Amino acid sequence: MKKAPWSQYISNSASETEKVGIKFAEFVSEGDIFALTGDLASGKTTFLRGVIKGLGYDGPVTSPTFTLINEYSAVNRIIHIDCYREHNIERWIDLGIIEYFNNNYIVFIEWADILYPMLPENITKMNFYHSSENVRIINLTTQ
Amino acid sequence: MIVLGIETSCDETSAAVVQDGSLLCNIVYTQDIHAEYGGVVPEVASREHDIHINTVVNTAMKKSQIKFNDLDAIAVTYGPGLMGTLMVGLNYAKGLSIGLDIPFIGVNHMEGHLFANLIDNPGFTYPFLCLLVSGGHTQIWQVNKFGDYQKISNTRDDAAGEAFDKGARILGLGYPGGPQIEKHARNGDPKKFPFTIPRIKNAELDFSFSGLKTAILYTCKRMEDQEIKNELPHLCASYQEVIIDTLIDRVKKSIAATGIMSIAIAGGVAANSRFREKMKIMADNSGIKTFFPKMEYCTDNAAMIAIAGYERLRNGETSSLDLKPIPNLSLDDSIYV
Repeated sequence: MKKAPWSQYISNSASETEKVGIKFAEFVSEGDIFALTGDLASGKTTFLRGVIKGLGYDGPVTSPTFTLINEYSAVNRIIHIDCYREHNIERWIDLGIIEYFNNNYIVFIEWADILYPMLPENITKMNFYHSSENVRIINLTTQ
Repeated sequence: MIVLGIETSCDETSAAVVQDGSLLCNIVYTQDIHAEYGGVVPEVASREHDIHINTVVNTAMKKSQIKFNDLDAIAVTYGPGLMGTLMVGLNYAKGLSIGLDIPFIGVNHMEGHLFANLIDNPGFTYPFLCLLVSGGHTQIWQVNKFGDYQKISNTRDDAAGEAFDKGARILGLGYPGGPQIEKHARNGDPKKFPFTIPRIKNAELDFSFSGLKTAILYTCKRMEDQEIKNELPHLCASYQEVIIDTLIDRVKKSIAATGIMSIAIAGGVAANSRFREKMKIMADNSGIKTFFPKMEYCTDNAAMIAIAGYERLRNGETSSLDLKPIPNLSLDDSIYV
């Protein structure tokens, strides 16, 4: 991403995490790739639900854990990938995942660490942490 | 009329043959589940479909005792699903269709799931509701007649099957999570840990399961490891109960909202015996007709694609060879020529 709005955000609830995602969408542009990591229930999908809404998609944004890749059509083509149940990088390559890494899409990848070796250099990494039952910390690094 | 159905939208490679609306054969190629990955089933790849599709189709034809020349049409899933895996099935079906000079019919995978309720089930008539509840989906559909569907409920975040799977992971249980939780819940007290039914403002039919992950995670974080071990049956029973009660609550509300008194329950979570038991009690008390299709028809399969394709063919609807896979296909935008 060209310009990040913050390098760390502390959210006090799931609904705040979604709201900050909606605002975050203003800073997202075509060709951006976001690699998200963090434990179960740390807010990755909740944050992305906000971002995808903010990008202009008004339908339900559901977890891609079982479907693996969800695609959304808004102003841009949005690709939501989840590596939670598929850790084999070869299989992701077989699925044609590299085709999404170009300037026609905006790509979000959850549990992305296994794909690091094949991701382009200019990605944005986001790490989600539990601070307490409701509080989540999001750290952002642009490459 | 004889229709060959092909399904490759995600994990499963499947082929089925339907003759005049009756299923002759349904073959599903499922790879071994690698439990050691703890929740991960590393079996998905378009290459895998490529390797298996020819064998799966030939097996289905052989078992049905049907020759390729006897086929009247090929039906195939063209979405929703994964671009790479959909492409394998679609291109295979197009090739067969050209080679045999018979029509080819693109079928919406979700329409297939709704039609799976009608396989081997002549007593079940329109209109009906369908709760589709699996790892990937938790939705309630109103099916008025063939081609006339309305989604009246959806999950806002995680599917119920995913809630089972991730809850099992948090509790340190193996994969697949649903059967693990069900097994441990058998001797547990479902009221011991008060998890609450998640509600959504202004959308009382919709589901939300994402918050339950946080609830069980922090319930466990407040306990010592040994305590979690001791309480495991109660944790599982309470967690399972809140998911099931949420499903039943939305089913009741959907029936009240639509006035439709028949409901089919499809998808992997339909295998949960506690869910079946509680659904039956609810139905018996309120005069609702419930139907659980055979499991082989409610996970991903080609039988439902062949049946839906057969119905399309009967209506004279076939697809153009230009049809492309549509990963985010919805039931509102099916394309037929």
